[in-house]
Amino acid sequence: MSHALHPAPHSEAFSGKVAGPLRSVGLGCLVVAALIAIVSGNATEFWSAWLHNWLFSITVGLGALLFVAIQHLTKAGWSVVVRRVAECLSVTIGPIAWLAVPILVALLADSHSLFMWNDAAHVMEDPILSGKAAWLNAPFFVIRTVIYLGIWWWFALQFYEGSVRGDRKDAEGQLSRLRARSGPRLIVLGVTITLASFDWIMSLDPHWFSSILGIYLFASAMVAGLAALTLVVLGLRKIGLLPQVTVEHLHDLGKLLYGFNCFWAYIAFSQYLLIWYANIPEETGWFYHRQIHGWAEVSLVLVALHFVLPFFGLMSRGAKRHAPTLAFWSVIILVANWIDLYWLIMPSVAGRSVAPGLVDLLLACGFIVLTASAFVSAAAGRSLIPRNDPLLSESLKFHNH
Amino acid sequence: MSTTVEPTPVTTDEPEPASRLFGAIAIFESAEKLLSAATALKQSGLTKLEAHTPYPVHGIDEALRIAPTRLPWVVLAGALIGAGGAFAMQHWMNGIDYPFLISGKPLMSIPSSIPVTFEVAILLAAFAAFFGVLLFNGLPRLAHPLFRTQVFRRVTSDQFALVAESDDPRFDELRFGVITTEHGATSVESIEQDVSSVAMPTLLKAAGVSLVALALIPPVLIAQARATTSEKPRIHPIQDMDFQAKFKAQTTSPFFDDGRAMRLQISGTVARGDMPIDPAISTGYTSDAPPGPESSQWLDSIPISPTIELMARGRERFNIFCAACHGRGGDGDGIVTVRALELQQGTWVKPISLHDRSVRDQPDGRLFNTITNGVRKMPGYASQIKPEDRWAIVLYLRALQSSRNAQPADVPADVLETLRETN
Amino acid sequence: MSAVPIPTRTPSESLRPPLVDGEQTLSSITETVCSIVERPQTPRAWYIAFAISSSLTLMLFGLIGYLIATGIGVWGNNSPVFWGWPIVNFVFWVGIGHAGTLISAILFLFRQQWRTSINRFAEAMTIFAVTCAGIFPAIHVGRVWLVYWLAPYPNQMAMWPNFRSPLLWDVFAVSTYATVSLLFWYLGMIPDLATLRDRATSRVRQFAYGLFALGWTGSARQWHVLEKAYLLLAALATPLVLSVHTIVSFDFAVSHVPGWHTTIFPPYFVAGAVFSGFAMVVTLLVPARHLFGLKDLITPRHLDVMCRIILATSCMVGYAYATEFFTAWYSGNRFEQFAFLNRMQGPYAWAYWTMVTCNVLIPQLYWFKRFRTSPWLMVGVAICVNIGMWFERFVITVTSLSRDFLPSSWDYFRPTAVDVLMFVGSFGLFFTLFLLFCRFLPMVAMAEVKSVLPAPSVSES
Repeated sequence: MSHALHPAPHSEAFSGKVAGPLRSVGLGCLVVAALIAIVSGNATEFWSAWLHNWLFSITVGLGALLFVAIQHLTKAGWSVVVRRVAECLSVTIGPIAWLAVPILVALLADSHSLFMWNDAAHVMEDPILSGKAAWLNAPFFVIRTVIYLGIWWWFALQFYEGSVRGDRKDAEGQLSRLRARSGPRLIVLGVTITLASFDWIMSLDPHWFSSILGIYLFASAMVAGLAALTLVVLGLRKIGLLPQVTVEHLHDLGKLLYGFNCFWAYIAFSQYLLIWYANIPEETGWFYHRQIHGWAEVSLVLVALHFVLPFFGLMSRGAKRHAPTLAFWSVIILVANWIDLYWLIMPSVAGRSVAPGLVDLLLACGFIVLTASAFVSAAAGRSLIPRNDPLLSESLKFHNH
Repeated sequence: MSTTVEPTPVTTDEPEPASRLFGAIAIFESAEKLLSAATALKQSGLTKLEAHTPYPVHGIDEALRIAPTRLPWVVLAGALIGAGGAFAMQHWMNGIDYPFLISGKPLMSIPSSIPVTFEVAILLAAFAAFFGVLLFNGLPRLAHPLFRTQVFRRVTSDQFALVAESDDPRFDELRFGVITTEHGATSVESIEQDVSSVAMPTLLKAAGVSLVALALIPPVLIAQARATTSEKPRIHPIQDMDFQAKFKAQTTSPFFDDGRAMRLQISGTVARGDMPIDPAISTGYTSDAPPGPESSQWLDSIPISPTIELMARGRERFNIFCAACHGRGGDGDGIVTVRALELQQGTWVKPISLHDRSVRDQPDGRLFNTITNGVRKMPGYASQIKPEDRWAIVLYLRALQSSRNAQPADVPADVLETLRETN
Repeated sequence: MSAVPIPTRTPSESLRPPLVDGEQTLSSITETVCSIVERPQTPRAWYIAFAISSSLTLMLFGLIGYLIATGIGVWGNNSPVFWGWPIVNFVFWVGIGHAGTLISAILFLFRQQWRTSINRFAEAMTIFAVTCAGIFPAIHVGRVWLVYWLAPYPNQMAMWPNFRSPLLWDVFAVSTYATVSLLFWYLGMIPDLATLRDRATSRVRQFAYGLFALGWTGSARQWHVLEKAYLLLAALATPLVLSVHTIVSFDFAVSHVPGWHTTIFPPYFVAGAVFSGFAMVVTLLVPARHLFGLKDLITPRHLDVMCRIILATSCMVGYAYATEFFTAWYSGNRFEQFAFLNRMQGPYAWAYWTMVTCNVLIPQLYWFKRFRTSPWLMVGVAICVNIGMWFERFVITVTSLSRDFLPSSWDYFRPTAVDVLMFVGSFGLFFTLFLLFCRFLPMVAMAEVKSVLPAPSVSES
């Protein structure tokens, strides 16, 4: 196919001016939080909050990456106008991945304020933990984490750069290469996400095991990625940078967000029901911890915010096509995802109580601002839609029946 | 089939009683032509205008100004009724009307009621959707004036039709013909409605009446069976294992000479567990028959040697057989008693406390006899507890009683010292 | 909506090949589909196939009668394997019954228009598979004449069913699924039945099709309501499809039996069900399009897409095998570890490796274009998947039960001839229903295919 003879639809990118200041603000928050932790001497609070908020940012980027890969795999036409935004969101995995370094260094320095399997004395006494030592040990854990993050970043960059290259020349060739690779990449993503969920969430309570947790994290990431994507698209559209996105695209984003949110609820309920019903001690304890000391209320808030309210709120066609309503529910679902990760991580960390502290809030701000900064840098100077994509015309004309 | 663009003139001078004008139909070859004609006719003010197409044509709703259907609300109502009904049903049935514990799950358990709640919600919502289609579309309607026209028969395959009904005040067949032809109609015809035979055919009527009559037979038979009594045994189509080839106790058998189904013990043999022992050990008294309450013929001590093993055995048997009513401590507060009193069972006699002086003062043999033969409401346990075990229970019971009435002198000096220190 | 000029380029042919081949018009589609059921002379091959399948069906009914008269001891089920072939067959058939509603509902919601050519066919397959599935648990209850005890009805025993039992959830799930699938199938078929009614040349056909077409006239208002209802039913059927095999997986996974109790079971079973369902669709569709001359409506593109879905679900199933295996090791639970090692190395290792080969290894051939384009290679792989998915259920059910917590009761399960013949007979029932469908009902959703025909026949607004 020849190059475009018509003027490309302009969606002039914003300059990356705000990226630098944002990055400073974000890093500032992290530093202040670290100082508070050093002064108060509460290492557990700091590390658990760091892991939690870091994971929150990772789920956003990972969800966007999964979205992009799935769009390529299914040759989706409607989504072309929002795909570049998703690509820019997915490459935020890169900068955020570096922020895992403190945790990894701490692990190598024998810190066990987060992961009790890193306490050699404790592992010696515990036959089950000794049995897992071949998997749960600091060097191997660090190697695995580096592999997961490296793979994700590499995939995100490939999709992003291939798509950006397509803006200049040979969009069709670039895209067909990406399409051909999207299938195997999704398989690799599935495996790495599962192992990552085992490492970063399940091993916090090293006696507990649940084989569905990988799919749980996949669902969380899809929900977080779609909610963030919807919000960013709505924001860019509001300030006039994405005029090509019509209410039809919003409707589809809303449907996907709604669908994956229900999928998350399905996975979460399946895990709960099976463990609750079988009621065997090595599994049930995990949920028991989440039903005492105030965590029961958090669990109920999670049920309400992550499922019941969005389920009814986003059900109607009108809600998905009304930008403010869609934005509202995207925010609610993102908050619910934040609470979900909090609920997954904190009850397993010794010495954490229900209420988040100043360190949690500072780190949340820091990681969110840093993700935004990474997004702005990725989007700066780029067209916000893949302007030579052969399916762009289909996306621009897209209409829900 | 008419291919003329001239509409068939309505014959007014020769009235046909069997039919009247229903409306007019125009046939198109493509959806675009249909759409433009529909838009034009709608603008001309026709209200009773309908398009018939072989597949859903997009844009026709706008052209004919069809209001969005309220079906989604019906379906939502179905889902909510299904979910609420199923949830309430499960909680009432398993939690209130027939409560029973299964694998330690709560009687009213939310997690385990979700699957059925979900399924019934979907089922009723699907019914609402399906029957909503029938209701909103007025289906089934097997007779329709359109079915009487030849041209309509291709409309469900590959042609497109516009139909205007004659009871529309703005209906004008000529104008309809002109406008549709302008927009490319290949044929326009009038549609007659058959008014002569609105009555149901006799055959159908007869079939319907006989079906109803036949359908009444089973309920009438059931009603009759419920209202009357019968000498004959009830019909028993599924035998299960209700009738078995075996002899029951106290019945006759032609197989044996004496005609008895039950057999006597063969002389000179001893049944397992029936080895004769000292009558005093097996009864608790030395006389031939149970003596009076104050008699001296009750055994005054336990006739087998009281070892620590016997004591442990006695505790185990006591907790199995006695504690349910008497309570583990012998205070008469076993779970059966507690439950019976809670339910205010009038026939229940609360067992006396085994620490009561009247029990404590009884000789061992009399206690043994009570276990063997029962007292008041208490049944005898001779068939369930072996004599040695009954003595073991007596031994344990004595220990229980001493535990409530011990004096410092009963305790060895060194133990007493330790107890004093800990208290 | 925007002031931006819209590119004039259209997507390339390779990305968006047409949904139907050849010069198709409204009348040619009607002709192609209707002529199959309208031809005066039924082909001899149909009679032969019908004779075989209906004899097998009769054998199935005969065996069911024998079973009811004798007791379920005629099966190989015995301590400790109380769930033998009947449950394996049940899960196998229910799984196959997932593709139809998936194609109709989920692909509809995802606007996968290629589904229109195959959805009627797949939905029919769903209903027949669920029929076969329903037979097995019903006769497995032992006293089949008391099966109505499963329903919550007021009775003289003053008892209600136990709603905390997954087996009762299954009753609700499978019966809801069968009902909703039937409604969905029938609702979509009403316009096509009207087409057949209006083309009918004999009074009998006109009356029969007319009765089931309910007086459909294809009016814009009828279409409006029908389309909305179809969308709503699709939205209802999508979570329903997921729930059915999820609840089937609960039958196993809420227990404590090692190898059954693992949290990944619900999504794993659903993926497996879709996998087996699509394999069965391909297995049937390739010969059917060949025999009935539907090659222009069911194009190589349709088959290619279905192969890709089989490949994707094969990877998901492989992922689930690997995850539960890894988790068994990771759990540190000796019983779990034994259960999985026993599958690989124990007395049923042959079944386990058959399962892995057929479900995970062989479908990888679909990465090669040749296997997705050559109909007979494609069917070969799909048949392997069908075999593999039966073995998956066999492995799950039998290996775990035959090695329970009590080593003294361990035993090797052997099916009896009745087990085998009943399974064969269930295929007979399935194909009997299927042949009747092919002979008397429109195999392709004509109205839906017509609505995705490329211009100029159709104008998309």
